[in-house]
Amino acid sequence: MGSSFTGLRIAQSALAASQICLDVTGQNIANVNTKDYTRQSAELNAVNYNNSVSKFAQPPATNKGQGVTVAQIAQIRDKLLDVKVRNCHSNYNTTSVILSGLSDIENVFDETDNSGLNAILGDFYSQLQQLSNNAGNTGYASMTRSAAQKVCQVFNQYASQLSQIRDEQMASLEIAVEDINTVISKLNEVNTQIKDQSVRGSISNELLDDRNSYLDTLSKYMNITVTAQNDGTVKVSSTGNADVLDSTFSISQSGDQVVIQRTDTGGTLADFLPDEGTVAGCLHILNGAGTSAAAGESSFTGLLYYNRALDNFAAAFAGTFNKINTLDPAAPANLFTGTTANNISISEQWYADANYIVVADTGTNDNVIKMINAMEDEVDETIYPGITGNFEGFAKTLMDTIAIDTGYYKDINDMNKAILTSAANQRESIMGVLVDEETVNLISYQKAYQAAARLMTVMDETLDVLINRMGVVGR
Amino acid sequence: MMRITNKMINTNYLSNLNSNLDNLNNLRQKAAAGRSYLKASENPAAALKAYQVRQNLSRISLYQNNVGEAASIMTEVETAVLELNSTITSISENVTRGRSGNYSEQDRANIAEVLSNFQLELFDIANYRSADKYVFGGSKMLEPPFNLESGVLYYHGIDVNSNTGFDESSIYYDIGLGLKTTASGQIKEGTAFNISFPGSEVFGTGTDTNGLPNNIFNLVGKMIEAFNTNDLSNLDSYVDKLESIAENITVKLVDVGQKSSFLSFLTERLAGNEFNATKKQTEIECIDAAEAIVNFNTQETAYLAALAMGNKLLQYSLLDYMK
Repeated sequence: MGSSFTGLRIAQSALAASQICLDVTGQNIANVNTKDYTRQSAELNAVNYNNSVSKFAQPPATNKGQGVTVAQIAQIRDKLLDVKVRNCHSNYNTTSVILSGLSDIENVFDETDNSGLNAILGDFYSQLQQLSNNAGNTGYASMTRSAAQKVCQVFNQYASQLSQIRDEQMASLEIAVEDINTVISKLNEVNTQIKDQSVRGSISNELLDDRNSYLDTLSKYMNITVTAQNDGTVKVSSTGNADVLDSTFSISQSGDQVVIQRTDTGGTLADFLPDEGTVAGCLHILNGAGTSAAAGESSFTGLLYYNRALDNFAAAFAGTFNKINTLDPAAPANLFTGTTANNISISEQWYADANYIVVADTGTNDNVIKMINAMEDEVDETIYPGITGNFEGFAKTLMDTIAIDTGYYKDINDMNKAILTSAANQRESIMGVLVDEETVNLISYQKAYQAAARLMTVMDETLDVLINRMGVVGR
Repeated sequence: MMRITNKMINTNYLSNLNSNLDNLNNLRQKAAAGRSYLKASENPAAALKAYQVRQNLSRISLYQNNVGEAASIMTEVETAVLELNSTITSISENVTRGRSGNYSEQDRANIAEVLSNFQLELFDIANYRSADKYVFGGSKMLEPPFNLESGVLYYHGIDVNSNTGFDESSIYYDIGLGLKTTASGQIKEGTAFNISFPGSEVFGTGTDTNGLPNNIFNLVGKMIEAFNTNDLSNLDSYVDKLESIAENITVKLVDVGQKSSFLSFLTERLAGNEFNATKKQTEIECIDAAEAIVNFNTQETAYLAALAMGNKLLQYSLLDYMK
């Protein structure tokens, strides 16, 4: 036999539960456009009959429930999808940073609607031909000189554009590293707060949202694995089991390679090379030495490759023509000075005298023909390593390489973006707020509240009958 | 079934709208530039071919230029050699006339006068100049090859009667025959076009076994002397020598003619190559205007449709239908 007032208690619990449900619905609607907000829902539990006094007694058959209680305000979120989205974030940011770096490099080399190294080399070639046909004519010699000057200038320009791209990439890497350190300190802060709350019993959903948001941000910069701990905090690790939250990141330089270093709270310094993310992308672009990679260098075809290729190119170009122009090895007559793309220029002697270029050796124009031939012949790789084909051919090779790589990463990046969008949609589909749904909830919780209130009235009337009108027969 | 949330609709709609706009912009640029691709990375295979074709085109125009120059020099050489030929014929006629027995000493002196005019004409032909080039200058075409000092003819400073020491090296033009050099750095014959016609070869140098000058100018000098002194004893051998020289010059003429016709053959071939390369370039790099505009319009329609749909999609929710 239950107590007389059980009904009132049930009605009261129903009123309270509906009230909470309405509040949660309100919170969801309020945050429909809040970034990284996770939809919440009040988990209702029916309260069962539980009488510890009647431990050894047979429970009555009319055992009934005791109303409703709110177990917790839960976040509706799928942890597996978090993992998926973060992996996709890392992958997409790798390719997108690589793509933007390669596009910058492509802009340097691309000659689709302007003229660059290839066209200028072609010009130089034509001028040599003109000189050969007009051997001894100072006018043609000086035109050849200015064509050669242009070749040097294009080398210089390419080199300075590449170094500008390098500066930009370094700047974006610095910003990324700074951001990573900020996010790490915020994550540590949130972790501490969550730990405190966890000790006191309940963790606020909004704090969890904050932490997920920071983890999402971090996953753009590097590939991360998030492990939940018993005290409610999370541990974040990356490539090589690096404990990310225990680290401060910094940039340093080792030879030609840019290195990211990780200092843990113990002060130990170690190199850190993530597999994916913005940082990995930047490092690929900055350090990629392609086919010229020495041991320990990145073999991605990045800035370093193009830098070295251009330098080799300039050195080979200068060397080849200096050698032809020098008839007597004991008295070098150099047309060009400099050994890198950055410092190649025509020599002072040639600058002073257009006819410094040796047109004739034993014949009339045979030396110029040798130069023309040098433009046609394959560069001797044993003397000038890293140069394949002839000069114009190599300029084309550079353009082709960058065009093919850029095209490839464009496709891969589009693919990664599509995968990311789909994963993010999947996650949003679970955790996002749907106004229609909340509206429906609003109506149903309102109805539930009204019904609970009616229940209260019914109980009230029932008790009224019991107390005021029972046993008054014939009074 | 997937829940579709409001934020999802907004984000997806915006990103699709943006990619539509990006496509639209891309197609507009292509249509405006008339190019089938704007960056090599959009179509690396085509760009690769296009660079090759561009280089071909620039080479072809270079070779056309070189062939043109070589051909004009050959024409000048031909003209000069023809003139030389006709002068020799006139000399030969005059000599034949002067030999006949009924010519007086005075008549022979007159013949000598005529011959010395022809001799001067020979000298002029030897220093024939077209534009800034002396066609018989051999490897040094910018300076007059022959000069006359106190009756002695010099070719680039060397007496033409000496047997050796003449520079008969070549001037090569690259006309697309696949220029090659030997290991020692010399140009392989046949891989470039030699435009040098050394005056020493055409007009002759040294003396033959009979002590007669191989040089036509000097031979005519001997004839003039013979007529002036009225001593015709050696004239027969002079006339024979003149004939053999004339023969040699005819051979040269044929040589020039062959070279000229080879050049005109090359000119035609290069024109054909140029046409093909230009056509190829158009195919690879240019976009068909009609196609470009149709693509652009299609994309524009898609963009407008997306805009119109957004209006319907984003505006309403269940709240609009609740009392």
